[in-house]
Amino acid sequence: MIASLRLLPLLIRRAPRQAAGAINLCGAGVAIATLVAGTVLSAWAGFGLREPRIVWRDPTPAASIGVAPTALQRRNTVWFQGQRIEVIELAPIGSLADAPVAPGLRSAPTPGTTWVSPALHRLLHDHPNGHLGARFGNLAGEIGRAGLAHPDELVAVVGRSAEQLPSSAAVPDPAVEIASFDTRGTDRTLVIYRNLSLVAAVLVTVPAILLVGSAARLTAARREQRMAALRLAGATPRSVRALAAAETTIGAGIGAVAGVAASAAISPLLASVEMGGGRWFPSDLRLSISACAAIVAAAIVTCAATAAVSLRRVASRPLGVARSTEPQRSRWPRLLGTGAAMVLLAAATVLSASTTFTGADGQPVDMTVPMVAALGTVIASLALVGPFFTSLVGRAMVRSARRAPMLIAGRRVLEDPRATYRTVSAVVLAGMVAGFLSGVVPTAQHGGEMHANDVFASDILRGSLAVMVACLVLAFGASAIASAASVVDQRRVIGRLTLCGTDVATLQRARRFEAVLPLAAATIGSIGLGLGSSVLLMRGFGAPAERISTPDIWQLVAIAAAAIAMGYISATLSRPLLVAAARQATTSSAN
Amino acid sequence: MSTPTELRTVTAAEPHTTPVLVARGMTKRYRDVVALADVSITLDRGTSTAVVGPSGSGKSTLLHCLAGFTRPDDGEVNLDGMRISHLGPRTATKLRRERFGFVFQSDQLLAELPAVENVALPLMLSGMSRRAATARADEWFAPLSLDGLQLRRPGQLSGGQVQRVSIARALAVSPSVVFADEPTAALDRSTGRATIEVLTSSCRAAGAALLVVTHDPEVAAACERTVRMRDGRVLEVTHTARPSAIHSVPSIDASYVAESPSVGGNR
Repeated sequence: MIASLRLLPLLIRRAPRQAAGAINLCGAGVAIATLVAGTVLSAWAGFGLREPRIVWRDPTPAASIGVAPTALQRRNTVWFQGQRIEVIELAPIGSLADAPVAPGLRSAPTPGTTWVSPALHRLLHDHPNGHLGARFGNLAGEIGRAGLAHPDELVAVVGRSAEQLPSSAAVPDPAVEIASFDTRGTDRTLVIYRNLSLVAAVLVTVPAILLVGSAARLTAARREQRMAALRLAGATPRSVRALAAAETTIGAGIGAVAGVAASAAISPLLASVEMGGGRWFPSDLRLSISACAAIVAAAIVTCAATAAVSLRRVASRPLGVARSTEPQRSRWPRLLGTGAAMVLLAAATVLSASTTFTGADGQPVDMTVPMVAALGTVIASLALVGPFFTSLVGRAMVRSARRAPMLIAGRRVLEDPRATYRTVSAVVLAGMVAGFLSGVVPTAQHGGEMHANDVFASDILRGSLAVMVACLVLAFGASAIASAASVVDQRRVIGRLTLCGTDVATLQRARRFEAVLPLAAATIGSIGLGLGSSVLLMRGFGAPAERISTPDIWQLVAIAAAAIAMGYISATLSRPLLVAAARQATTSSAN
Repeated sequence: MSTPTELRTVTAAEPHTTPVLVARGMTKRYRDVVALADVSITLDRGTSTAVVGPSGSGKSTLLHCLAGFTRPDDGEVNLDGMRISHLGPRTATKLRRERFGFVFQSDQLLAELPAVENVALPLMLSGMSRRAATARADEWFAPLSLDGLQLRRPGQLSGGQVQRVSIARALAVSPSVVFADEPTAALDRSTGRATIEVLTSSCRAAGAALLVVTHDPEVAAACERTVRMRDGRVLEVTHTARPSAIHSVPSIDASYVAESPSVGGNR
């Protein structure tokens, strides 16, 4: 194997121009996938970074941790010209030196002085003579970012005397006796944001993986013949797979690094997008070196594995593609996979909504990760159920075919439903994501009790839109690349059809049938699956059943139409490759 | 400047036939390489012609130019009096589909389609309905000893059976000319011999001209005329009085072929 790998530089140097182009395309696909995946993951990580900077405002009472209190604290909200200002009042019990210092402050505020966030400082500066300044007294300084969720937050930490902050239960809105500020707790709103961004990451990562896989398969299809020649020359199957994986790794590696670098480069731009009530600190959206390395490694491994798997037939048979004897069958037991995944999701959401499912501490068990994992399983199960529906569509196409394009397309679909489904799987997945989001958005917007908060509703809308756009970009990229790879894979068939006298228009019509009809069936199913998953997940996240809204039927029809159009365009974009394959067949037919 | 190639007839007894494909003065160059040098050839209805010669002699280019895959730099090709050497791609494709049949070395059938649909495909591509095309394709199976194999896929057929399905497909459109490129190269000797015999006799019965590019002397001997090429030129043309194929066609019933509606349907 080592000896074979030594051939790698030579193979790359001597690769035909098309092969080099395929490697570049693979790199570009991987770059897009890692860029999108990196961006969504950075948002998820960003919400995690915000949390310790906000939870200090709800410190644990000293009594509950069995220590003597050193300060009194009260949290409330005031409004100025429609803007929400969070006010934390602090009063030392005894010496000021013993009072805890809140994160972002250099010292505890003395009674009558106030630490303000930079945004509030600007607001005070802009309204020096209004009522606002009078509310906070003398400014002690600006709160640093360690005490702020985001740079636009309006926060004031106001120093009071112990007399000004009664803690007796007899008074309305009593202060809490505290000994320290804890940064390890959780913020309920941020938890929801983080959960939703985790869902978004799952929704985006799967099409990203599909895009990476498609890109890797494209290069694999290109190099199939060269690898078959290597097998004939004596290379072992293992060596061929290793060479394929190594060759793909180069393009994928460059693409992955470029994608992660691009993600880092645009993070300052993304930091200006308001989410959770304000913009981001740029560093919140910057992925750590280890996270970047993990993304690059995952992309490379996915590419290398896909390339090795797609070359299985070459590796096992030196003469290349064996003659097909039996069509690949996709049978109904595949439905059980999706059924099981939905049951899993339903079980996780039921447990999450249950008040009786508690841990050892008597608190309800956090089912977020199991629910999101179950959602991931539902998404993954599309790979099982998709080929089954594709084969049903293929059977119907063959049965109803009256003309050559439909017959050719139907037979091809029936020949290998898994391969057909692979070319449309990213778009099907985008359909599922759209179905999912079409369930989430109206529920979040009309959720009322769940979150009667305009900021939350508009964040959901903006986030959903971003996820949808990301999924569409990934799906379209994956679909276009898969369509191109499929033409490359089918060049022999195209050649044979051309020699039969099939013109390019007929070939193209057959390809469109082959792409669009299975896609239409699978997309309709996946939209329904997405919608069902969103209803379950919303219930799991605590939305009451009566608050769960369903989208307008025309909205779902529009999603299906958009997905089908995407498949149609992808098939159309691969026409130049089709023309080239047909031309090659006629010029080399007798050679 | 090359001089026109003289077609030297070795056997004087040329049969009286009707020309269907006539090529005159064809020249084709690939950069500095002259692949065809002023070649003229005529194919007659119901006759078979073998083109032999070493690799690089221009056999394939000749087939390409005659079949409309490649446009010659000079000269012209006429099919039933119509000039076809300078047609656009679309018209050339239609012409190939409706007037020509092709039998290649191997790998020419669609693996996804059952044998009968492979044969029906060119008919469907010409606009025939699936039902009619399949029915017509089915009629070719018994004469070519393929009965019962209609629903088998190419991967389930032997090499000889695949070639006979290819022959059925080539003939199903009632072509004027059938082009065969090394049709027996992937077969063992006895299967190859049987295949070429089926091919020549079927074309003859269907009234189609047959052009076979081959390295195999046995295949050439089965044809009525042999064109020998070298360096893009025709060296000689040999007529065989009694081609070896006629006597022993093990797998074809001549009377059945004669009764087939496709036979004699040449344009």
